[in-house]
Amino acid sequence: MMVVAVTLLSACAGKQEQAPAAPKVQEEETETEKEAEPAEGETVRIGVTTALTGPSPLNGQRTREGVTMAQEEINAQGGIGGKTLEIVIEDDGATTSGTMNSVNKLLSSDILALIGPHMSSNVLAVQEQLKENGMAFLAGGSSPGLTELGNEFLFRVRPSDSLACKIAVKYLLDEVGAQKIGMIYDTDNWATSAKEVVEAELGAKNIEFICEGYNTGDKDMTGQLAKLKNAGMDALIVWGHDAEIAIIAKQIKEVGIEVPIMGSAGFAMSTVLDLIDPEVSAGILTVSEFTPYSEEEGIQEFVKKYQEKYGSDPDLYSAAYYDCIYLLKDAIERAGSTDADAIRAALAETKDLKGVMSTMTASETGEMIHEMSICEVRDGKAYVIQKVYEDGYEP
Amino acid sequence: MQSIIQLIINGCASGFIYFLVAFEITIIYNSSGLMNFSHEKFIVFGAYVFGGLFVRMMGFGHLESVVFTLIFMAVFGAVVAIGIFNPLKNLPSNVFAIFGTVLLSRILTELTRIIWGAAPFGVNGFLTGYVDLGSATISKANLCIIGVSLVFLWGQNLFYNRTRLGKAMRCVNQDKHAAALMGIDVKKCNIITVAMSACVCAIIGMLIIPLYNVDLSMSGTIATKGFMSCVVGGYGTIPGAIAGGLFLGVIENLYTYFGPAIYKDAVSFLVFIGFLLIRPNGILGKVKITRS
Amino acid sequence: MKKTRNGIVIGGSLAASLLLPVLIQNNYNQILLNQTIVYIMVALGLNFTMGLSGSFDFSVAAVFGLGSYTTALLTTRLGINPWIGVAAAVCMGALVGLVLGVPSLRLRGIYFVLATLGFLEIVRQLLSNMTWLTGGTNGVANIPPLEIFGISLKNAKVFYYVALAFLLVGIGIAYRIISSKWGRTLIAVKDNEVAVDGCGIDKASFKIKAYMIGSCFTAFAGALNAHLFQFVHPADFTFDFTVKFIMMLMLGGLGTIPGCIVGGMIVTLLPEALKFLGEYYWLAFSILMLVMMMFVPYGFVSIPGLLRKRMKRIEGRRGNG
Repeated sequence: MMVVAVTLLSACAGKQEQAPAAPKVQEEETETEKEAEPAEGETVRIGVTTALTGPSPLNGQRTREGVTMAQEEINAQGGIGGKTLEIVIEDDGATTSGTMNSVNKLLSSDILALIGPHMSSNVLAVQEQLKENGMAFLAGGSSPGLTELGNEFLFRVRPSDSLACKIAVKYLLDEVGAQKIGMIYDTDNWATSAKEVVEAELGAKNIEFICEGYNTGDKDMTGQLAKLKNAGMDALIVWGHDAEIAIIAKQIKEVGIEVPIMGSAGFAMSTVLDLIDPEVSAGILTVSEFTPYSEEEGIQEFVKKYQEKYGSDPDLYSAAYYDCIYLLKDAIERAGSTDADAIRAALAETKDLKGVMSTMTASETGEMIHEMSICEVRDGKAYVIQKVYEDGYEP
Repeated sequence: MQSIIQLIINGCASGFIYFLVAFEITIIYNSSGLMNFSHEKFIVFGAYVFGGLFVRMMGFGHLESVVFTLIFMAVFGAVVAIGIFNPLKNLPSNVFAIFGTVLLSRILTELTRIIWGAAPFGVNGFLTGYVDLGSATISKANLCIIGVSLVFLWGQNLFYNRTRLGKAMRCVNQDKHAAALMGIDVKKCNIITVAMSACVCAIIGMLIIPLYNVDLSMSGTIATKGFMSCVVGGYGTIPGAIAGGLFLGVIENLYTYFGPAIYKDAVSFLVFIGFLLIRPNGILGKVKITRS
Repeated sequence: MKKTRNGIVIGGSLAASLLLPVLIQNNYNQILLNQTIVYIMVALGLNFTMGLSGSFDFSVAAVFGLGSYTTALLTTRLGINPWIGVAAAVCMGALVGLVLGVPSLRLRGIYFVLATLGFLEIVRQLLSNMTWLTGGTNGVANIPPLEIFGISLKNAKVFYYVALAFLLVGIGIAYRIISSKWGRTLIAVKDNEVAVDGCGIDKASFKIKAYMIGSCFTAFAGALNAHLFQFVHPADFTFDFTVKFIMMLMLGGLGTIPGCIVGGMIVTLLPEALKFLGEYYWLAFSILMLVMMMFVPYGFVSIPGLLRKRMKRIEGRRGNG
């Protein structure tokens, strides 16, 4: 039996073609197996951790499509500094243990930088380890708490929820004129932080605020919605993950709520909107950094390329992570070397790099994105009605 | 007062869904003593076969798709019974058969994910819409669920008491060996029961599509609550299933009037555990003669 | 004959397990091995609660989680030495064993199975929602690694040897318990409760103690795991996670200790080996497991026995023919 085990293990060990483990992870010198030093050679390798399996595998798929499209474009134009761009994608299943595993794997695969994790909770799980290994990573987590960690290797490629929520609240107060705002939110770390931002904003302006939470995976939010309706509000903020907000949109109608709805970025995504009857989703507002129906320069071109290649509309994940590849290309070329620390420093100096989704400038805390749009859903599609820039980052 | 009525109506709506799940758990348990852990995936699979295969891939209309799905799932249930359940049941302990269902559940999940992809989708125009009852609303899908449940309640009574097959199944339930001695083909009964249960699962799957969309995790909570309803009402009996389902559904919805709705599921669990510890025979309290 | 053959198997396995870290270059694989050891410990614990009682125990993931959280919270919030955290986790395990053992006396068969299921769900909900205590869905981060004689167990290879040592001790304890008078009575309780009652033995205390021992093993493993990964999150302790351990027992051989070891290795390592199948690997693994269940229900450890029977039958026929 042990023989079986040993055979299995050697098979596993043999499969890893990459030779030395990442620095600082192991004390001893390990023997190199086959390939020579990869980094100085002909390829530049970037790792990606995303959820190819799990509750929303479509997001992982879109991420993969986005980075692959960018990779092919870059290699067709000569690669990064003349070297071929290689991308290693690992599935983290959207769970923390999955992410820890995929990050471990990638750290042993000789990558120069990491794209991901996407979810804030997963970022929390691995940020310390990535810092210790000196690996810069471009995270998608939008929870405000991430930048307070003081991790100089963390760069955020999606706008912080503190920005998104402020924009949402401002719109509801200025344009809708709400005097009492309700919020239904997922009780996980990410959405709870968002609720806290909203609560603080409204508290500072002395606007009444009521909220109800639900668990990720819940299918029946009518209780919470009924309570909010009975409390009498002028607008409702919905903040949660794809599957639940689609159900909430339906149940809002069932409970008979008629006030304006402002939702998290999920409402701009076709994966969510396709689940909701266009009559039900008409008029829903959302604050998002990307919608394929935006008229902005460069977006329609991107959408067309994407449709030709993959046969479907790109979404937030496609655009954000496509831009990430170009962001890394820019940083590596400016750094002029493949040294991990040089790349980190170059990333920290990114300024006014124009991407498909937005213009990227690294703030002191590693935030790259400083603009969002308010969109309105019509006919099951999200259209931009207002573009908002973070203070100090107007073009 | 308004919202209490709405909550009770919601409770009944959920309760009937739980009843349907409890129903299909009960009929399998009654005929073969098997706890079918893959029943949840039967529900999901049924929904996918309906929405993914017949409506989307083959383009049939809603009505035809429902019929085809039922036939498909019946055959599927029979195949699973013949290939997996019956052979495993011949082993001395039930553990193997039960574990077989757990494995089957994972296989079904993976198959579904690979065939239809993991993105959720809806079936347009299928049982959508709401009915206004004055001080409360109820969705058409929920009305349908209640209707179907009532049909089942009436039908199963007829089936088990009047038809030959139904009576044969009751014999098998009471005493496998005596039934065999009387010339009843126990294996065939089991196969038919599993096929029936698969059909019921498919119906549940189709009925919840308008509520939860076709999604790999669409049936998670209701499956667990179905199990709990069985215990709360009285495990192994159909009246127990309906009593348990309605009780659980109404209690958890009424609770939301008093406390944060986020603990609704926890409340159900507490009720369930309470019954397990204090009154395991459930509300109806009928003592079921268990086979060793 | 049998003794020397057993001796060779044991000796060989021991030698192989000591050499493995030297052969493994990749840190990811090393961590995988470490996880295997931890999971085998859980399987040993599950063997006490499920293997010897003959019915399902779905609470494994919850006990594991409680063990992890106990040490995680004590070491991060109160700055307690990790080893004391682990000890505390074991105590928590004993407590949980008591809590689960008592209902096991009252509830028969399916009711008890459902109760363990309920326990699992409630623990998960509590861990997720009691944010003031557990950090809720943030999980608990920055759990300090264990240290022994000044050497940190953060190095995966060092962890391996220490964990292996614990595992060997655990296996030893398990063997001693099962072959002791107490252990044999426990097996009798499972086989024929009426007879045991007739002998005037208090089977309640046996069942409860069995639960406590099993839960201690599992909680200990959970604590080790927390220090291995330095992060715990409530979403990890799901039904699927429980099923993983039950699979180890069923595949390896229900109720046997070598079964736990073999099962633990296969269920942790085989999916990794199958990853070359891309997105089909989990399906392939599940189908493989189902086929195994149908043809070899008593697990891998029963294969040599089956083969021997086959050989005897063949030889017997030849002899008579």
